[in-house]
Amino acid sequence: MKHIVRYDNLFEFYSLNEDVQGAKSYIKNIYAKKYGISPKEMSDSDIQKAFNDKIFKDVIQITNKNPGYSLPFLKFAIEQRIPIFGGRPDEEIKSLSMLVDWINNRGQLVSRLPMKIQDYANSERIGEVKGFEKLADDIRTLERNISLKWIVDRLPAKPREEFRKLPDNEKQELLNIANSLEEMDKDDPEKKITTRLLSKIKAMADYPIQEIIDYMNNYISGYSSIDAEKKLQEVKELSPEAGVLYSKSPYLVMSMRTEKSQKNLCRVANWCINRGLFLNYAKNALQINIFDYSISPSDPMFLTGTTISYDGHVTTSHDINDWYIKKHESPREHFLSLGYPEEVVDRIIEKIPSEIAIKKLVEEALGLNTKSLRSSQNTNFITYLFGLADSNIQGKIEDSEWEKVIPIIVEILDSEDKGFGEMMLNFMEEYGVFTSSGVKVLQDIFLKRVTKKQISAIYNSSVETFDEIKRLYAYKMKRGDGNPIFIKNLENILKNEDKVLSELKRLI
Amino acid sequence: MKHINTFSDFVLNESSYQFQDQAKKAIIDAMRLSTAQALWIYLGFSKKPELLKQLEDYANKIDGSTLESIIASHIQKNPADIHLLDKNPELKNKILKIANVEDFSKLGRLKKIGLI
Repeated sequence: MKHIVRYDNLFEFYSLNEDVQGAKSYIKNIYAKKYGISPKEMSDSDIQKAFNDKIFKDVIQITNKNPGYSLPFLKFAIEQRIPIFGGRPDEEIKSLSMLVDWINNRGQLVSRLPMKIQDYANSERIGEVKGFEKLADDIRTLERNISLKWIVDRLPAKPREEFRKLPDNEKQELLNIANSLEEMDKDDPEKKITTRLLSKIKAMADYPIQEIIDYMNNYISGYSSIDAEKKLQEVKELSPEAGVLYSKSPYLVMSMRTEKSQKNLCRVANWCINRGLFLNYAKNALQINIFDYSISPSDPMFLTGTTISYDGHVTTSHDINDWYIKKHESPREHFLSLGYPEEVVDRIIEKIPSEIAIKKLVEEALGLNTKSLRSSQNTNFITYLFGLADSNIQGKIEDSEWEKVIPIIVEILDSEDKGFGEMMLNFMEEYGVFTSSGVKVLQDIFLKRVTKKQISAIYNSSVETFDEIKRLYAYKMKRGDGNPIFIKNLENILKNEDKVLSELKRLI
Repeated sequence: MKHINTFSDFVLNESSYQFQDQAKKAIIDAMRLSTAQALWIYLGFSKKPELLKQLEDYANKIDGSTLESIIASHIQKNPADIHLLDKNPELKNKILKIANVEDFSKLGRLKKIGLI
């Protein structure tokens, strides 16, 4: 049966048809390409298959109220591989259905975006990100600026008029001030810092806008040093979820090891990783955020965030307004190009290897990186901890760094209801310690937590494990068909047997 | 009777208790590839004893082997893999007996997490 649809006027009918027609031609072209024929050569059944495509049908369904978006949305889904459904309302826009919701609720803002939605869909990449991700970033920036508009409304009439004529980048300075004020007053229901400033501004009705902005900048800079101390305290309270890599006035360099720390410590920034995308960027990577308290919080460089992959490359970097500021693949060159002093940069670079090891441990300990089962969290934790000790033995992590890492590990081991300390001890009692890294972990981290009886048990298990390794090695050698890498590993372990056992004996 | 041509056809169609030799051969061949694969298939089929028996008969018919002997041959080559049967102690003991090797599960667990 044919569906009868009522169109209020002929124009709407034709425009609707035309809008969906673009999407239809697009999906037909995709299928024709797949079959290696031209769209004209497609049979009716080929065309039907194209129109039955799940992505096509889903896109048509979610854009039924706005058919003009069917083609760009189809391009987002197919070319940029953006999911059609998913995401929570409090998160960054990450699916097409979330974008539809935003358009339905905030349609009047679409024209204020820097580009047309079609143009985002036609650009597979804009800078380092997909067109869709850039669209989500631009929506976030727009919404943020709207939420900060209260400061413009509180300006006296004349400077307010002047403000409206300013270019966008100069307007941003005042919005950044509003953002900093919100951050400073976040724990004060009376919002005293903001109220005090606004009462002063009220008396500046005849001042040019730039003088008012300069005045506001000086005002909030006065609070910055207090803010710096508060921030440092907050990082310490969040440890081990966040760590300080450098803190000497005016710089505070932090490593964000979890989404929670990112949100708590850097909420002043307009970044998508603050809103549900932390793992998209900082999984298998360090997130290093730097406050520069020598400049006004309204300056975009007041806070920067740089992501460094575990293999040591800068993957992305943004200023406080989310402008892309990556300068170089090499972290050292990147930070120097951003204008940070050599002393600060050297300190960051020096700490990268141990910070990677710590972040891996924290991720596993808190189960943040994966949805893995508890048992695999435990085993990953053991592997990373021994790996960290091994890096110290091999000189990849200096002794001074290892010593600083120990309290963090102890903190993780003691952290609420995770039971990692007990798990590690049980592990060592069952399997023993059979490598120098194992001895190091036992000696530096666990010695104060174990009894002589437990060390004896660990020693006995170690002897048993060594014996078992010897028997397996002999078996493998006799058969002569084992994996050479595994056999080499066994040989290396057995080479250290006397050393490991005598070190263990010394601890009893 | 519905013919089953692929392993996934077979898995998806529980009512087809007769399946072609071609599919059986593919399954037996897959079992010979690695311990993990052999165990995955064997344990999966254990939930459907009738099907397991058909496979068993086929393995026996082609070269006189049993499914357990296929697993045991993997264990003879990689004795530490026996830890993969930690959750199936009965089968583990049986396989150790057939393979005639010492129980190296402890080392297998250490190998799995990269410590040896």
